[in-house]
Amino acid sequence: MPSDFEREYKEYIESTTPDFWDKIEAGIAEETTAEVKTVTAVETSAEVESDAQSYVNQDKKVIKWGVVAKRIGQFAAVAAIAFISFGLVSMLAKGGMKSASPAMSDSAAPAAAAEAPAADTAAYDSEPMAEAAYEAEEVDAVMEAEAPAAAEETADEAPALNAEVNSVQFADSDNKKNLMGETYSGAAKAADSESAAEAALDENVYNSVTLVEMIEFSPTERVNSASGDQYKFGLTFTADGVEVNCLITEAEVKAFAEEGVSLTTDGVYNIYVERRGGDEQGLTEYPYVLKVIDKVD
Amino acid sequence: MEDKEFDLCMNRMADGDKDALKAIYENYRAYIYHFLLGILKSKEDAEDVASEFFIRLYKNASKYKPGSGHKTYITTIARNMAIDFLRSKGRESLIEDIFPQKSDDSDVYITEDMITAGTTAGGMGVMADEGAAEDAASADVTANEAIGKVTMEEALSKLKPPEPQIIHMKFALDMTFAEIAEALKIPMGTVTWKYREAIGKLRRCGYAF
Repeated sequence: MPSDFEREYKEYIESTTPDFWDKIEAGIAEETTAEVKTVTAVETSAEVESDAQSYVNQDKKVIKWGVVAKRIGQFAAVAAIAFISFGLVSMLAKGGMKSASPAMSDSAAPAAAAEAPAADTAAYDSEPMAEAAYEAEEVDAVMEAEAPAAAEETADEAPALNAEVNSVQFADSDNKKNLMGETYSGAAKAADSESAAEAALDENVYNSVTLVEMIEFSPTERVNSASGDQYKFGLTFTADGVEVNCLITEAEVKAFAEEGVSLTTDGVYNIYVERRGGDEQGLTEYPYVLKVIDKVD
Repeated sequence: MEDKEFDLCMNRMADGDKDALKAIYENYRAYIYHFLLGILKSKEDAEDVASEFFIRLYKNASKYKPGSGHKTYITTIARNMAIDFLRSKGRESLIEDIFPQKSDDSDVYITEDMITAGTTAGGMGVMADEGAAEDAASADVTANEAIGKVTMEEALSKLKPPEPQIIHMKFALDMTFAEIAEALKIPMGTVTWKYREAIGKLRRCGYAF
């Protein structure tokens, strides 16, 4: 039979304890919501990363309107330069024909025609995209074949031909640049998504409930330091298949006890440490528990 | 609640069963709240930390190792949460008052049976230590100087830390001295000594044991 005190004490504590069940339920609901958010964030990041990866890997071309607009601008500039060049050549040719004797006109035409490809080549040279000598030679060959024809006709046709060649070059160049752009863009996107994933992880890491592993550890070594003797804790754990061995200081353990921090030994890990018990003097008896949430790199 | 029943509830909680938490809450609400109140000295703080305690218990149910003695388990968690709370509020001085550090374990050989015999019979069991004998004498003196029955709150206010915690654990949860010592991280000798002192003071206040 309980003593007077025991009975009265039990009655006393029962009657003076408030009901805080609602607070508990609210707390659980709140934490569950936070967990769902964290999991969603991590899943979304993974999806984005996956998309980025497949984006890099796929061969499908993607139209990049910014690149197209840039190329059109470049083409227009080169076409204008070519047009002016041929205009000048044409004027010179006409002036030469007017001043020259009819006997010379026959010989002047091939000369003008010879100048036309030279001017054309110069136009190509001034165009930074004209890197394929083979294409330039092909143009020269065409121009030479047409040289016996009238100089005016050559002058009229040359810009069109030039434009055609340029367009081929641009198309080829665009192709390369598109591919490069695509690869770069994909890589950048992947990098961006990785950053986003890391950011999401950093933001949520300490709220995360995705525990990879739980470790218990105890002080294994006592070392001398500048500030005097201190304990060091041997810590061995495996995360993502990588075994991690390290010693962490008492100060670090205390810091861990306050909040989750990154443990930098054999890699960087996001961990959360929960103090299980004990106090500063009771470190050997009361282990801490580390929850490794994720491996950062 | 027996260990088996508690273990079962923890298993169910690990599967997300809130009813299991409710069962534990109903059984230990008063114990946890008053244990924390005795340390934190604030009803609001005690309620907050007690709520957090049950939330943590629910969240970490999957990590619970059955068969390790649930009374010590929940008391240790509550104790640690109270210490963390006091530290976060910069009230570390209270921690040392309530949980004195290990000084010596010279009195650990006083068995629980001896203490029980000494207190219930109003006399002393076998003491192998002068200090302990003095304590016993002191307890007898206080027991003889009854001041009449006072309210429970008033009687408890006469106790000095960690006496209220020991009394609480002993009478609210029927914990053994060994369990109390383990949960509070203080030597069992200190627990038994403080228990005797507390009993003596409560007797003076008119309570029978």
